[in-house]
Amino acid sequence: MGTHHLPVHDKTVYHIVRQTIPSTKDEASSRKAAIASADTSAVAGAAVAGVAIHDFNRIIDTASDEARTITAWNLAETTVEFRPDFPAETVTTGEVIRRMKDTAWQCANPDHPISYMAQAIEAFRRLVRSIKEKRPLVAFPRGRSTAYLVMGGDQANGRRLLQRAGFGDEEIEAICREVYGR
Amino acid sequence: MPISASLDIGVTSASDMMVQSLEVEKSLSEVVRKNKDGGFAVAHAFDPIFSGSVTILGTSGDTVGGNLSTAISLVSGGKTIVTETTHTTNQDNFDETTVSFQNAPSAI
Repeated sequence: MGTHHLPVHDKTVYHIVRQTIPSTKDEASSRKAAIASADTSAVAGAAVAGVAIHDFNRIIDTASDEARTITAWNLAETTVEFRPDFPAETVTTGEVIRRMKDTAWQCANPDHPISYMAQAIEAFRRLVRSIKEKRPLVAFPRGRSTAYLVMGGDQANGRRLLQRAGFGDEEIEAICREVYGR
Repeated sequence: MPISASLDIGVTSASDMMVQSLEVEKSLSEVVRKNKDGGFAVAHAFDPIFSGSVTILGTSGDTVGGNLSTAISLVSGGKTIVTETTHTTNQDNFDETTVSFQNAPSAI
């Protein structure tokens, strides 16, 4: 058994964008709500501006009266300077569409609003993929502690944690059926 | 500012964990908080500021990576500064990390 103090470095300043979404009865509705959240779009915009995204978590809380989902984006705390640097111009619909699909043009014109729009859409796609691929945590409070188990994760680990939290055998079996389906 | 050339999206894999011993104290006084450069900035007077600590128990062998990030996400929103972390590996192979933090939920 060992104890050590960990160094505090620049990643220890966080900016957490967190939202509680009510009425998410199951994993599918929780996932859809997270994707549709205005937070997801806002974080995509921040990513285009250069804000690093450290992590994302989705927690399904079934212990409250109404099942709910908590989403939390963990971002770098930083500052971003916006300084317009593109010539005023008038372009046709066809030209807007062409530029939206032309990544080479966007790379050559990184300050143009069309480049921002295209990159924001790409960022949103990636965030949606992250939401779909990352398994949610399911919350089980017990006293002053709360166990967070990965849905469909390692059942042996989950059982150990639940025993440590003080859940009884019958409670653990019920939780395992909910989280692991067996 | 041009668009970010490479989108920095670092989502980690999820891991089981337990949040316990959450202690939070609220204050309304003016506080000093760190900025991104490690310097200090003054928050708005009367913005609520929370000081607290939380103990995180993990089973995945993580030291502070995903678990710390996840735990901070669970206990706070807005700007959060982790002021100290202490990591222990228990005899029963639980990884235990105690985190002290300051949180300004309404700071922009």
